[in-house]
Amino acid sequence: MKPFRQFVGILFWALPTLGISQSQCFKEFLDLGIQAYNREDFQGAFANFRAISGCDQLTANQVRQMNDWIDKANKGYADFMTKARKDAEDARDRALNALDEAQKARDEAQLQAQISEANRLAFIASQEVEKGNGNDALVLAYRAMDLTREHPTPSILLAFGNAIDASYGKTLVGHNQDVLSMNIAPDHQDIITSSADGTVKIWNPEGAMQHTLSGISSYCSKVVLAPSNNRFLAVNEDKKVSIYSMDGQLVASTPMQNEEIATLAISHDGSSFAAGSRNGQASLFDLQGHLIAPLNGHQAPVNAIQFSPDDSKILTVSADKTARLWRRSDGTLISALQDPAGFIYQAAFSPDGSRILLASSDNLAYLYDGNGQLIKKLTGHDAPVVCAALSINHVLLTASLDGKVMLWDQDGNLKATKSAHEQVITRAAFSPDGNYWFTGSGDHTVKIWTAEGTLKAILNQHLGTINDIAFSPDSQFILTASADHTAKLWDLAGNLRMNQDAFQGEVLAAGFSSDGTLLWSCSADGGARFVGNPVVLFTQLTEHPVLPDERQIELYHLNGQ
Amino acid sequence: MTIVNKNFRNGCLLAWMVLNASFSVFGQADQLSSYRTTVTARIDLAADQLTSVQAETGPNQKVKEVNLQLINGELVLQYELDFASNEDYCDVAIDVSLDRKPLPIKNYDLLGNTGTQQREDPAHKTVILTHLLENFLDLKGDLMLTINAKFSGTRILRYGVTCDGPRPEFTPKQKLPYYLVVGASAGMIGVAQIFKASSNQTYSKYEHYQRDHPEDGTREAFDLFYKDAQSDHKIYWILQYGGGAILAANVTWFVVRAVRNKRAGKEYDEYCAPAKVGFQPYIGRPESLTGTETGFSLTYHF
Repeated sequence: MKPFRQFVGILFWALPTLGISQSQCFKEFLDLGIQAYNREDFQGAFANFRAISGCDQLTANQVRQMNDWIDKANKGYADFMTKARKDAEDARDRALNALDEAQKARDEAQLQAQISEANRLAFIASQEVEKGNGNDALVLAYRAMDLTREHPTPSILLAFGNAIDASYGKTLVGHNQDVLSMNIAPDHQDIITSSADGTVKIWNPEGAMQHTLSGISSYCSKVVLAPSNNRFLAVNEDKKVSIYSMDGQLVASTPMQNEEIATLAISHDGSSFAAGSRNGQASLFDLQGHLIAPLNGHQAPVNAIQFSPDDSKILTVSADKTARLWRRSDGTLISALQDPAGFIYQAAFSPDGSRILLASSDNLAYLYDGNGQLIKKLTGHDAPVVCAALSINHVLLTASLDGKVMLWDQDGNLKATKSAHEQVITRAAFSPDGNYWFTGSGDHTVKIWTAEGTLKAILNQHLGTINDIAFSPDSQFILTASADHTAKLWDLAGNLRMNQDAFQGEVLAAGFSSDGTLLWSCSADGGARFVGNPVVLFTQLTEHPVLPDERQIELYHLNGQ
Repeated sequence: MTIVNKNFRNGCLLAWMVLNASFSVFGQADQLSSYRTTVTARIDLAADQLTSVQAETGPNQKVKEVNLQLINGELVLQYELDFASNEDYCDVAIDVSLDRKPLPIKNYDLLGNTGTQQREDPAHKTVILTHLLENFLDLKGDLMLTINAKFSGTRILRYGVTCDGPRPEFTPKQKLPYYLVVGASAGMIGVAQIFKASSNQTYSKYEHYQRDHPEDGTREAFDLFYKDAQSDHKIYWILQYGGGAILAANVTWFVVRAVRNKRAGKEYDEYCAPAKVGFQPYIGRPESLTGTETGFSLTYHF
């Protein structure tokens, strides 16, 4: 551009000497300028247009044209520069993006390599579990988890859970018939199992049997832990409820009842409990076994008892198709809930105690307020309603034998209807945080739903009837017990996190300790089992890598410490 | 004729009683008989309905007065047991099926008179199938309850077998005396034929002399022939019928003893159930079938 400018300058000063006519001067420079402009040579165009001012006797119109073209050239130049800068910036961005892509590709390749290695380790860990080498399996599975800490694959999660079960799981052997329930004390120091063999056994955290209590009713094998008093309750064959200390010593007994005791419940504050009998009588006792008040009125066996969340009321449910609400302080009847025309399959208080929901075999659910006054009959089901649940978020759930689930607000207004399963629904419940609910079905599947009713996951790896389903206290896991001899731990995304398959008989019940750090299962083969929650143990192993043998050194290395 | 027949019948009865009395009678506790009684009905548990209840009890059934009701969501089964004089107790088990598929009822969900029922207990029994609403939710269809009753008590052993000893057999050594008696009696009969021939011959002589010499003064000599013939005939008769009687008695006793041993052996087999040589193959479902596996198990009982 510089020589060209010099050339134009020379031309500008030489024009008069060349004897070019003034009109020709204007036209020549204008044409040259326009040509340069059209070539996007805006500097050349600007010089030619400025050169016009050197022509003599320019008319006002020519001056205006010159200025217009000078402005155009200036603007064109400015636009050109802007575009050039933008192109440069785009080029720079593309280069940076390419660099990012390359870095991402490198990271992805590294991640894939880690996942591949982790999968390999997880596979070997699974084989070690099969061989019974739990400790080796745990080291390998931990390494696999550590390699894929942010993105563990389902197979790695399962391998780790199974390694935890193989390495840390404790099997309780001692009962010779179905183990029907397990209770883990809040401090984890005592584990209590009850069995159809008519005994209750107390175990220590290492899984060693400490005490055996005989003469326990196999008809009502329910064992109830007192929340704070270091006591537990069990029903005796001689129709008494006995209060035991954790070392198996009899502390107190209730007077003998006239009929078999069918159900048992303890208040949330642990100061009293209620027992329901087959003859329709229920009774409220203190923890010394003294009768506080009889709860008489039912005409058929009392099948279930619940204390309200604030312990001020007691709800009894009977085979006489009624429920009754009692005042806990003196045992007086607050209200008889006699609206159902069919059997009451399930009854529940809302978490705040302001609602009571009954599921009935007459295809209806019945919504009552906290004082037992009917708010609304919930219609819409076409089959017996077998499940009733109320969430902490004031959502109500009813499920019926035709596989349908209906969600309601706390005033009984329908929010959603879901055809959840092709076969009967046997169980449904909300997660403790109220954000999810599950349905268990006779088709051997469990489905997890969001509170609004969106299907989140299908748990379909059981091959037999599902006998029990439980949410973990932190609402992050579901534990299932099945007639296929397995108990399975799942996360809410539907990933199988642990598969307990050590039992020889169907798994009858499963659950979590109150703090969610232990999970337990008990079987018809007379065995029971408990093990730590894999997520909790992974965190503990990472923070305090203490493994069952000297391989902890290797884990330190793996952790980079 | 009537009197003769009555006496004959009484004689046979007496002989049978004597025969039986010769067999020792021992009493031992054992399962004596078993019965399966079914009761069918149509159930819709959620609707609290039980219809078309029908109990199948045969004329020889010892499980009687069977009835089934649905009360408060529980099945209440009632029955009575008819004990024989030598039966002490009865083991009762209840099987339940719905639409021909077994219902898994746990023992601890059964209340009342299942398991061992003593003879002294009240005859009227009640079994309650509990927790049906809780365990099955949807119990709807053709229901069938089967009462399996196994009566046990004092077994009357007609042939007095003892399981401590060997299986009763009629051994060749035991049979030998009978064979010897058969031989001896056959010998007696054979000798009788000799005496019979001699008697006939002597008598022929007697007849011959009497015909040829009717006026002969030697009549004493004729009488001597006659006496000899008479004597031989007497011996023949004694040997012939004595041998025949001994043979008949021997054969009878042999047959009786053989029958008794055979029955005692059968009783021994039934009661003592000695280990049999060989094996009994049994094809069935594997015991630990989880529902995922297929196939069958082959079990040999030696």
